[in-house]
Amino acid sequence: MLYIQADAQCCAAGNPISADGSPGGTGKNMLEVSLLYLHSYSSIYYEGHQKTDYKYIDYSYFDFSSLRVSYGITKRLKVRAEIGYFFSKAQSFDFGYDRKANGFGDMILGVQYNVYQNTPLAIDIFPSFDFTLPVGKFDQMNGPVVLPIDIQPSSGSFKYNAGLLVSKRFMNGKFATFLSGNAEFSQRINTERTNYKYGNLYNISLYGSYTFLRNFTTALQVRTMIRDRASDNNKEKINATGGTYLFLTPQVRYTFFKYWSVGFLFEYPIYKYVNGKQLTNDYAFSFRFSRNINFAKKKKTLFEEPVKR
Amino acid sequence: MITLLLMLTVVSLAGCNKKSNPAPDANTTFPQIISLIADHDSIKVGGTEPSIITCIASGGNIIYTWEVDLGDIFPLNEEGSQVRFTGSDCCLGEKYIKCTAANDKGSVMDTALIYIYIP
Repeated sequence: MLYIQADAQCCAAGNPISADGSPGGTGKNMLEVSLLYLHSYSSIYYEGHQKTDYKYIDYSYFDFSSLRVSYGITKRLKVRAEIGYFFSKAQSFDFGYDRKANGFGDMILGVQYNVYQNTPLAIDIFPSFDFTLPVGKFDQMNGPVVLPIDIQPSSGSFKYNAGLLVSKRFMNGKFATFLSGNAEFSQRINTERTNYKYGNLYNISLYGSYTFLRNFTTALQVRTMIRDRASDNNKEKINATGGTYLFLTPQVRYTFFKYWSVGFLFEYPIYKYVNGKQLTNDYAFSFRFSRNINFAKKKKTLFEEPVKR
Repeated sequence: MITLLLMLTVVSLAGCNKKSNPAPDANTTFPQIISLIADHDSIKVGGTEPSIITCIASGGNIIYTWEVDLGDIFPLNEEGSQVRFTGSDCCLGEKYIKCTAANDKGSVMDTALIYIYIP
């Protein structure tokens, strides 16, 4: 399966969304290790659903990487863990100042269960739950200045994400369609330095994938992302936060030597609606390199060795 | 599981960057903020008209630290005693800019209140 989401949000702290909502790697004793590189660039201000000439931040970008492992405990139950690292998270201001941060982002621990499997109809349903721990850097400085929350590598917040993925395969799995949705709720950051709550985040995706020449898979995803307004230290909603976005994401993946794969995706926002005036994302792209290891197979071989004698 | 433990170890080690405590300096005293002055106590939203804030502290070997909940602070001098403050549309209303002055004897903090408005 393809990895299906890359976050194009311009300036939210913490790991961008790189969770694989697909059931890839599912299978008892199957381990999947994958390495992601993601680049995101933002330079366009929007007011409502229209582009504006307003400039405050000239441009902003980040280069992010994550290591993710997922493991099939049973045929239906998969657990996963992910740690993110920002090589660079940068903002260049229209009035001639720049700032940068780097370091570990958040850690995500998750579980996914194949709650419904209809083999004749090739339909599967996978609910999932992810828990984000802000283990990374949240106190980076620019000289004598503590950097603001939106450029810190870690989100600083515990987050809870509930998701559901429905898949339907056709033509012996060559063609597949997916519908997925998830909702993320952030705990209020309440430290001596920061009192802030990110707005709730909702994603709904619809996509189709097609496998050809045995090893190539292409997919096209349409994703709606809705983020509520954040709230400040007085628990009042911050006007210029949150909005609705629609992304178009073509993807391609190549599988080689049976267990290895490399994938690329490009995410382009085709519709944006923001509250107030906000810097929005221009584009994002990512590469993912994955390796599947089948522990079940190895165990079987060892068990069978004495029998062969 | 091994990979997960490895990831946790890497994160733990990354967080163990302890700063060494310098030896007490006989020439320093407990820091005191003498003045914290902003040239504008209200500024227009955007980056063109900043408030320049200066923090002067006594005590010797002072290290200045600045922070604000929402808004953008940039240092203006090497000493770190002067900064410029602006805010985009995210940061309207009252903002408390905190200046902390610290040396080997301790630290002291004061805040400047700046109001960001839409003209």
